[in-house]
Amino acid sequence: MGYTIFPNLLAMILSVNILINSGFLEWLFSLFLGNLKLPLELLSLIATKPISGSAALALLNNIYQTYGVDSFVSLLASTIEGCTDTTFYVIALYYGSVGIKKTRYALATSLFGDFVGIFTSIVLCYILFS
Amino acid sequence: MVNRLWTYFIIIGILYGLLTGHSMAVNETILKSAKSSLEVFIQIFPVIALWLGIMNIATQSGLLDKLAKLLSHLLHPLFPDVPKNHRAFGYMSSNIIANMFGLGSAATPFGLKAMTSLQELNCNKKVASKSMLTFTTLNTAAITIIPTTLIALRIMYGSIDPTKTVLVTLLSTVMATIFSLILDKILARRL
Repeated sequence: MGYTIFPNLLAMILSVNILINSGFLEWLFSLFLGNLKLPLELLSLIATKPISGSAALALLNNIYQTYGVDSFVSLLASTIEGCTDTTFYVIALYYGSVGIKKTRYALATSLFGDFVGIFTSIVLCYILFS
Repeated sequence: MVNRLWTYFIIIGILYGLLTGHSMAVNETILKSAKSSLEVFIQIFPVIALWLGIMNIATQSGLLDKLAKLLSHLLHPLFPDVPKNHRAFGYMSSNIIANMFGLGSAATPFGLKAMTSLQELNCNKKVASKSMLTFTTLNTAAITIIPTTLIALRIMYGSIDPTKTVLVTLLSTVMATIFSLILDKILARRL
């Protein structure tokens, strides 16, 4: 099983890192979510979580340190961290491990789930905590 | 689809990096990524090995069967293509239960086993089956009752109410699960 996982992991980490470090992802998010009035740290958390769980956890640590663990932003970040999954990672790993080449709409349904989850947590946080 | 996606990521990243003057950063990434992916591999491999071992104990002691029977009644209607007593249900149930308690790294080995047993039922080994698609949808939406890692982190930072976000997380994962399963079933009909 180990042999089949590694090439997929390598492809994912290489391509995702290129995309993040080129500054493209940041630009894309500022374009679509710029007027939502969410702190930039939350946007990068949302952008990072589907790709890398450990990177998202590092960002969450950062938010706790900057805003204080019981602040509204930190509560929002906690719920977003809790309700999303490392979607790209899971799909690359799960399908890669059994040699599936065509994943059909796997990514679409999972990302839609993440979107619904994030939307629900933002709405609930504003109702319950603010 | 996923393999093609990586190619798009690389092309977009390199082009955008060149146009905006980030080509140095992109260069550095290309050189460093192979090493960092090996580091990730080294980090997750022992965890997978450990939990595969624990899973073997759970399987042979009959614990997995009991858990599976409880949860698989709920799962049967979602997976019409999988025979009712198939062991895929056991692995999928364990995966979902680990996710419910926020133990993502413990869930992964069960998930990989579930994929292997779903692949046995798959008639085209290169293309994802309907059952696999439903399973990964259910897995990534992941209903979370207790986000263990998150609560631990909040306690570490001295939160006055570390479990404050538990209800919101539960509700939003339930919503995510319902809506993504609906989308999954709609798309499955068109195949």
